[in-house]
Amino acid sequence: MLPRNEMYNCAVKGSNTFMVNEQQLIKACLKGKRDAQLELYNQYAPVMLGVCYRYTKSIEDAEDILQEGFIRVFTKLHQFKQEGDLGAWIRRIMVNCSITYLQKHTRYKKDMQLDDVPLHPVTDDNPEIKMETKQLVDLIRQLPTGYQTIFNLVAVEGFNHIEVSELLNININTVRSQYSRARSMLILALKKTDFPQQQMNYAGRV
Amino acid sequence: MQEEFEKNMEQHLGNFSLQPSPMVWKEVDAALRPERKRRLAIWWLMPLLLLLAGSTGYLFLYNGKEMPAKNQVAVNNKKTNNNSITGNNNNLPHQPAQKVTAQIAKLTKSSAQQHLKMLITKNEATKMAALIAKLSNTNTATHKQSFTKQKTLQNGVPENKFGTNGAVNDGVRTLQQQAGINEATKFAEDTKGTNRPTTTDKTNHTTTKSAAAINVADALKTPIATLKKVDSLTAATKKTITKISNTKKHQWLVTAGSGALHVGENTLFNNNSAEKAFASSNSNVQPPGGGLGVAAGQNVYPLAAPTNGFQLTTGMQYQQLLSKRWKLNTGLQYRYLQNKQLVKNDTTPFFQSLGVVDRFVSSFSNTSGKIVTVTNHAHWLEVPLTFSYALNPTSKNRVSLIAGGAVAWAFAEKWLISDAANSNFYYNTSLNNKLLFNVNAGLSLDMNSKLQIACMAQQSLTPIHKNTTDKFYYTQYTIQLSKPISFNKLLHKSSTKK
Repeated sequence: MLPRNEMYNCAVKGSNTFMVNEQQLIKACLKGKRDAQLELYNQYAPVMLGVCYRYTKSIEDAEDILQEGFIRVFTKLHQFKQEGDLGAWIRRIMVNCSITYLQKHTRYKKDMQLDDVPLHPVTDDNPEIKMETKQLVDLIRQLPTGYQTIFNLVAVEGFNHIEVSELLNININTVRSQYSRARSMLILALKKTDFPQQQMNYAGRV
Repeated sequence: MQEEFEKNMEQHLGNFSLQPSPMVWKEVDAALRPERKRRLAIWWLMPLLLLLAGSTGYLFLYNGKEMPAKNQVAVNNKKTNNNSITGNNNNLPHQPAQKVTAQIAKLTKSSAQQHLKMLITKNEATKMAALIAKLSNTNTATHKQSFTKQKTLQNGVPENKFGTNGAVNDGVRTLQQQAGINEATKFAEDTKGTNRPTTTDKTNHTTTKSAAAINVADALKTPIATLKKVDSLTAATKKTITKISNTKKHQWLVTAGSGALHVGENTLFNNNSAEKAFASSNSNVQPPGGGLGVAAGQNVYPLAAPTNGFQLTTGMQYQQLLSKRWKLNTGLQYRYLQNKQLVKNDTTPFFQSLGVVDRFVSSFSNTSGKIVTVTNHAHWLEVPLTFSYALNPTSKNRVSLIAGGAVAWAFAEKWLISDAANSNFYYNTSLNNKLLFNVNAGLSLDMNSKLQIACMAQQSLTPIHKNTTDKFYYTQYTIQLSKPISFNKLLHKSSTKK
């Protein structure tokens, strides 16, 4: 697994010219220039909506989080230390906003009451992912909200179990067991989706 | 093998993107614009509000009248004394009419005096002239009639009441001038010498004198009444001006005040909506009871911000008048500050065994103990140094702009310092004997030099603690009352009691 910072760097462009432009963009945003803010938004909004979408059950909720997140980004941009990566910083804000949103809204709140479940045996299965990214995301979104959140935090964002336990304010064992369960469920779902595809191939329909 | 799966996931999902609807940007933009406008509006509104308050006060207190300047009053008083016809120096005959009129013209700045001039020059003077013309038909009685007129004038304007008031005297003098009073003057001169009328003519003269006197007195009733009225107004105005001009050059004031206290990263000069230590991006600390299962809106900030508190202040101030408008205030004040902070009292056995009772942490989740509200106290002794600029220095109720600073010695303090970087709170014992520098500004109303009410904002320039990652500052808003005290009076009272 990539360290978190590296992963965030992968998420956004990282050439030198881009960095210079980004610094100018940040300065302009800090001055409150609308064009610069729009440019920054256009640059990061699609990826960030993808992040928010993975944590929610509907695109409307994801857009709500995106909106709240970008308001926070622009109002707290002065806190961003220029030596770090802006994309990673924005992504962290989006993740925080997503978690806050899930804990706030009743339709997610019940699912977020995470209790310890008997530790599920860790499977070594690593099924090949043949489906489209959108399909994979939708598969993750079909998991119960608690599992979905922990899976996203650990498997996609790259947080370790301790960090997740601190972020969600739950016991570390709960994180472990919930993640293990979520992972197993997803692998099972992936296998299920692979099977009919193989059948179709044998039938010679493709 | 497990890592392979996560790696696959990252590769697939790391750059997953979706195109947001245009409405999202519109909402973001709409949310950002009003905030900036509001912030700008606050900065622009502040001086405007001050200006508005000042000018309203100025207009209200002046009530549309222009006040005579201090030096003008002094000149007028001087001339009045010299020219008084009812005083000892009866030197009216030596004052040419033009000179007197010029003096009146000087006085005609206020509307009341303009009215007086008009009365004298138009209506009453015409009546007077007609009457005098009638009376002057009898040559033999001329001197006596003039004498009577003068006497009537003297009777009509009692010396003790109006003797020192310039407007009446000048007005009467003008009446005399315009009514051909020169003859009366001649008579007055005669009476000084030996040209007094013989006793044989006394009865006739007296009879003629009485009849003429009644007529003249009747004619003078209205203008004199007007003059009295106008002059009483002028006297009141002069009294006020004298009071103002007599404002003490320096005085001592007893002050007391109270107001709101805010502690945070925000200052009056740096009004950021976000405070780093309390921001959700601060991952060093955890929400108060935060995380899952927390009611909506409770865990927005990982570190609980202290509540807004209050402060009380009392002390003595020395006020020095620097010029007509400028004043300097300094003195010694005591200030008490208080607010509350939500923390977790760490009852970990390890610390308990070390005898540490009050160990407060901001990490609400990982330690045993309970969340408590701690009250912060601080005691300051401060020396303020402020300058005030009077917007309406000649008015009875003066409105002034105040600006200055204060050096405070925090001599006793028990104040929790939020150290977000280390997830901890500290009781700041090192703050004792620390000096804090503050700046303050505001608006004051001096009510007839008897009571002063001031609205002040004070901002500390020195942070509560220099070593914390995020600096916290005191911002205070105070309403302060000040009352002048006289040590002479106090001493006099105490000696009288004895």
